[in-house]
Amino acid sequence: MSTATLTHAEAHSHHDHHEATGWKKYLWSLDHKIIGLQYLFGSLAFLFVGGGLALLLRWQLAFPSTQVMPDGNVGNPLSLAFINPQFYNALFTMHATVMVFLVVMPVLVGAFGNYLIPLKIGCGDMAFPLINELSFWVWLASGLIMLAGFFVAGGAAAGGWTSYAPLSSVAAYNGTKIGQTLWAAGIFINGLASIMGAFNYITTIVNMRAPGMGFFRMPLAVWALFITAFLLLLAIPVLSAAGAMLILDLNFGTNFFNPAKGGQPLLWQHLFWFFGHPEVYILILPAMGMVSDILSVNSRKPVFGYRAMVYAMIAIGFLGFIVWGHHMFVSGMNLVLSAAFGVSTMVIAVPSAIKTFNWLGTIWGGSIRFNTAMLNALAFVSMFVIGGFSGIFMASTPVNIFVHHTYFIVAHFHYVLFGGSIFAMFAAIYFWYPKMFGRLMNETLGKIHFALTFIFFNLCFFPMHNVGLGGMMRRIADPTAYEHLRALQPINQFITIAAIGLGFSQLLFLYNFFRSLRHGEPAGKNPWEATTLEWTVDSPPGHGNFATTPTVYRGAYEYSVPGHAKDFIMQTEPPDPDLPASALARSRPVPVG
Amino acid sequence: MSSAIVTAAHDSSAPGAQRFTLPKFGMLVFLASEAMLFAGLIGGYIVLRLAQGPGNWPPPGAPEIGVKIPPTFLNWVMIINTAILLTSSLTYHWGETRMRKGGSGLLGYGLTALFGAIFLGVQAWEWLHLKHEGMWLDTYGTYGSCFFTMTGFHGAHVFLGLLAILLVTWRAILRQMRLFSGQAPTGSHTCEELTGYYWHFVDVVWIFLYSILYVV
Ligand code: HEM
Ligand SMILES: [Cu+2]
Repeated sequence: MSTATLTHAEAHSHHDHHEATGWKKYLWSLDHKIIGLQYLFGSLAFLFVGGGLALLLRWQLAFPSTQVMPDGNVGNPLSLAFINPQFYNALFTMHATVMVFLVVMPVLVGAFGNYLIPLKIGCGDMAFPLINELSFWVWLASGLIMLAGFFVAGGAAAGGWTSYAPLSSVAAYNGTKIGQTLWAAGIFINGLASIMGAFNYITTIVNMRAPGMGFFRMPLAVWALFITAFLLLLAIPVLSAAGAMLILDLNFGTNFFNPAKGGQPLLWQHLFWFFGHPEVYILILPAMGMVSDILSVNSRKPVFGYRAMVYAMIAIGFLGFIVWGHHMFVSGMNLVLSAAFGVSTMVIAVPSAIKTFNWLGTIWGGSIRFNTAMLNALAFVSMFVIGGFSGIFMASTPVNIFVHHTYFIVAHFHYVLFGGSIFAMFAAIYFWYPKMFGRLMNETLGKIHFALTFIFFNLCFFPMHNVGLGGMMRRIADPTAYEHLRALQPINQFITIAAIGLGFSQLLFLYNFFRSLRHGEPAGKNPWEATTLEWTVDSPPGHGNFATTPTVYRGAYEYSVPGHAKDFIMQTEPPDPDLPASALARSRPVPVG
Repeated sequence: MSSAIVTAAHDSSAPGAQRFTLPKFGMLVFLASEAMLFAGLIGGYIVLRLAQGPGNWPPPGAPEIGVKIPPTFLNWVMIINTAILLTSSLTYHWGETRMRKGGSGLLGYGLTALFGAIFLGVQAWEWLHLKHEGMWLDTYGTYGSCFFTMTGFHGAHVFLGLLAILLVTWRAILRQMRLFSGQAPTGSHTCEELTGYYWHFVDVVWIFLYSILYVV
């Protein structure tokens, strides 16, 4: 294992960062692996920016700067004086914007999509390497443009990540014409990057699979990214159109969202959520795909119901386009329409449930390896279930009217986004790190990091269900200003303490990540004894990935096949002449007679 | 899927023999995204227009751009302009056909560039004309907003397409010079094919925009 000898000369050059050219490669490269790493480091950096904003938010909620103390003084003694209500609004707007557009999307789609797709389907690079690299820089520019809002007159955009009109579209209402414009411009530019990535991925997956890599032999991670690419392709441009209208309304006097001149504020909501609901599946599908693979490898069992998993993702992709109205139940909607959106939303829970049961089926009876990647993947499944359940509550109009715009919603989307996407991100990093950097991350530190994150995450976000049902509204800068929320203040302070614990636990991850680059145990080609193509090549793989184009003979999940010496069979291993072909073709272990 | 196009591993720098297919496929997928951009704009237009109720679109006093019988002068200008844009798709196709048969396609491509430029020029004239009549992004409620935004988005696409066609024309000039000097034209047709897809797409979008902005 430790002799991870790199045979190809060009592969070796990947290890030499000593000379200046080595670093230049990380600024401009057409290699999908380097681009994946650019996205990885970029989005991890933004993760800490977004996390910092979140801690400021939580601090203000626990110790409001506007709280009237019992002695009549204004401002909790522990409060941060610079957080006034407008700045608070900017904080939550930018927190969500950063997390959605600059962390979860780029890390799941940009980083892992780029890194894994060519390696897993057996080709040398993406179809359009130049567009691929451009997409990274365009993405980075979009992030800087949005964050630049903090430094302009009026401050950053403050109308929420949903930027509802007319709050967002009238400068007099939002108080920051420039900040809001930068936000919309950033969203537009971010969309360009996503679209460049999306058509690149689709072209690559359809046309560049290695011989024998049929669609139904692709690992679920690739399937998930494939479907996600379609969602990006078709949903993002609608947001771009809305963003353009917003910029025009703010700066050029158009009246799209201006009711005084015949415009329709609700138009923004429809366009935004037409994008917005597919978007939440963009944020979770890649996570689902990668977790499926990690669960299977670490249970030493094939994925349960592989085809059902694929069809469920396709169904989710389709249905995701017809449920957007569930965000608008209280916006003034025809009741029949509202019922239709409620039902379609509940229908989307069916494929989600299929996936959940199949994950359970996958680990059922397996010889589970509880490594850090696996623990995070298991956390993904359980936390996604909680978030999915609260989703179904909210899908029913009467319940929704009660909980809409409360912390119950905040609990819901943090369970699916942190509990789901971010745990999956950790799982994927721990799992593919050895492939990316040739060394394993430290397992002990990893497990401590996992345990702390899991505990603090639940301590932080579960009580939000309670304060939400207790009537606490989202997007308020000072809960103590409301009579009915004062009794909840101790819970809010508790949540803040848990959030701080959650934030600081991530430093352990950071330490482990960077320490392991040099000091991690050498990984070898296939540390997890997995079957897919990326594990047949060196870690990290050389330029061009495969010395010769691999030929694929079997599905991605041949674990514990009876009658086989090893408990996994690589996808590239030719059929064993001693076994009946039918037994090998099965994706599930069957007794061989 | 052994029939799938497989780029030779290792030399991702050399796109391989299939480089014609991948870019075309990618362009088609990309155009699906472009279609959704215009679908978003058109959807918004329909919502805003229906919200005005019957008889209020165009709003009273706004310059008449809708097609009348008999057509007004402005009507004729835009009908002809539309015909010019549609013809440019035909000339482009003609250029491509000539090129595939070993010619340069210069005349077809050159005419396309000319027609594209005329279309943009006339549209700029129409914009100025309407602005002069008092219609702009911020007047007549959402009427002006929709008109200028949608034609503006489309015009920007035509402009990008025109740049691509100028490149294609330049390549045709080079081919023609080789032909004059008795050599056979070489090189791939990828650039021409991609530009063609894009240009035809922009034309089709115009048919939709023309229908809802001027006719219906
Ligand atoms: C079983 C699946 C799901 C169902 C039934 C569901 C349902 C809902 C409903 C009805 C709302 C609107 C609540 C309101 O504002 O009144 C909502 C909000 C939200 N959901 Fe989900 N959801 C599901 C899965 C997900 C997933 C997988 C994600 C992201 C990865 C997600 C992210 C969000 C976000 C971010 C919001 C809040 C948007 C905002 O107003 O800022 N949901 N969900
Ligand atoms: Cu939704």
